[in-house]
Amino acid sequence: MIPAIGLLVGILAGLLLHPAVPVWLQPYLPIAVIAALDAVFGGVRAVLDGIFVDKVFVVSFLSNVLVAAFIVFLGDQLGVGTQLSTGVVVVLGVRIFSNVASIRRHLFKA
Amino acid sequence: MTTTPPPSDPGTPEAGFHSDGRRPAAGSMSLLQQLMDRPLDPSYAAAAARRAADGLPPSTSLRSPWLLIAAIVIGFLFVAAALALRPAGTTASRDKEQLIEQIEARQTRGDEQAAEVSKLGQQIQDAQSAALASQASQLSAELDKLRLLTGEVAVTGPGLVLTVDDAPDVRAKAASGDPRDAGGFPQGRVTSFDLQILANGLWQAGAEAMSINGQRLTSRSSIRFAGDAILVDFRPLSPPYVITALGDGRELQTGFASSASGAYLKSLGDNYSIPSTIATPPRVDIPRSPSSPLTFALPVSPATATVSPSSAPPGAPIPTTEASRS
Repeated sequence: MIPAIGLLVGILAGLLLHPAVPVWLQPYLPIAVIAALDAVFGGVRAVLDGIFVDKVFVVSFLSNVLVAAFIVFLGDQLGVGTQLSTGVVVVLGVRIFSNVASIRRHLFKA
Repeated sequence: MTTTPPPSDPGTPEAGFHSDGRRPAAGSMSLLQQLMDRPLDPSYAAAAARRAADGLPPSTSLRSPWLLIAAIVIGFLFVAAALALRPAGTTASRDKEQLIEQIEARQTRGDEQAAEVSKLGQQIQDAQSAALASQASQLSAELDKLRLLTGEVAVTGPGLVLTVDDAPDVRAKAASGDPRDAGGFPQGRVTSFDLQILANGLWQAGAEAMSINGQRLTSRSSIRFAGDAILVDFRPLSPPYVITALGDGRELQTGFASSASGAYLKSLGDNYSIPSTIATPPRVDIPRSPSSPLTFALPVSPATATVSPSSAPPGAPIPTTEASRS
């Protein structure tokens, strides 16, 4: 409940503050969002599995975002930014989907 | 230990790394299988096991300040990303939006200017009437009649309203927006030729003034086709096409019905199922023609402010104040 409220507060703050993201940061945003989603769904699954640890969640979220941004940055420097981004999206996407499937099994028994 | 791995069923969940150290069935697939089988960070399980070993419950409470902060940051990140990246459409879509904006702006401007033209035309007319009031009333009456016929004034009175539209199947195709359906020329579509015949029939039946979709028809108007659109005086019209004619409604209707154009309209309906309706309202409004060429003269100085009726033939150079002075 508390994390859900936090998420809502964050969304509202974003809508109200209307943050101006600097242009140099914008290429990292999509990957960062995917990485954050991965951490969120992993956390939800861990809660349902009964093995949730807050420290693991926070650390995995931060490291996911940072590593994803770093991969995009490195890819841009090497001229293979799109390919690396695609790789990150594929790996994280697979994880998100199987985590969601597990959450679904927990919630709906289906 | 066998050198060749035993065939194993890749469908079973144990098809990834085997606990007993055997190589997996397809080594190259191990990454994907690991992803599919163990999507959750192993760190959760490891941390839970550590906590269990320390005698704590495996799961921590969700009421952790760090968790709250992380949740806020995640929500903020989502919104920031959505807001920052959403307007970044493709170049083509941005160009298209810009073009649409420009078109709309120009159209608004055009409409404003047309309204301005109408207003100024009314002023000219008032000035002309005032100037002619002192002169023979016959001249004034003549001018009024000519104005009516040339479409220089808006007129109102009893009349006839003829509405024609594309056949229903053509409209459905146009609404579907499939470019392949739009190929060729569908038979059920109203053409500029149809409108020309109908308008001529109404003139023949004794219409005094006429407009199509609010575009005044004068002796110098054109009804043309450009691509798929019908243009009246170079203004594109969209169906349904409403032809408004001024005159005695009943006479117009009978005259039109008995003319060749009436028969043509009937055949359009019968053969191509082009729907048409005729109404004879007691009052129709027909706007003035915005594109009537204006030839005018300005007084050189206010002392000699007499507006002379335009005597120059159409197309003659327009004298301006500057030209008169030089």
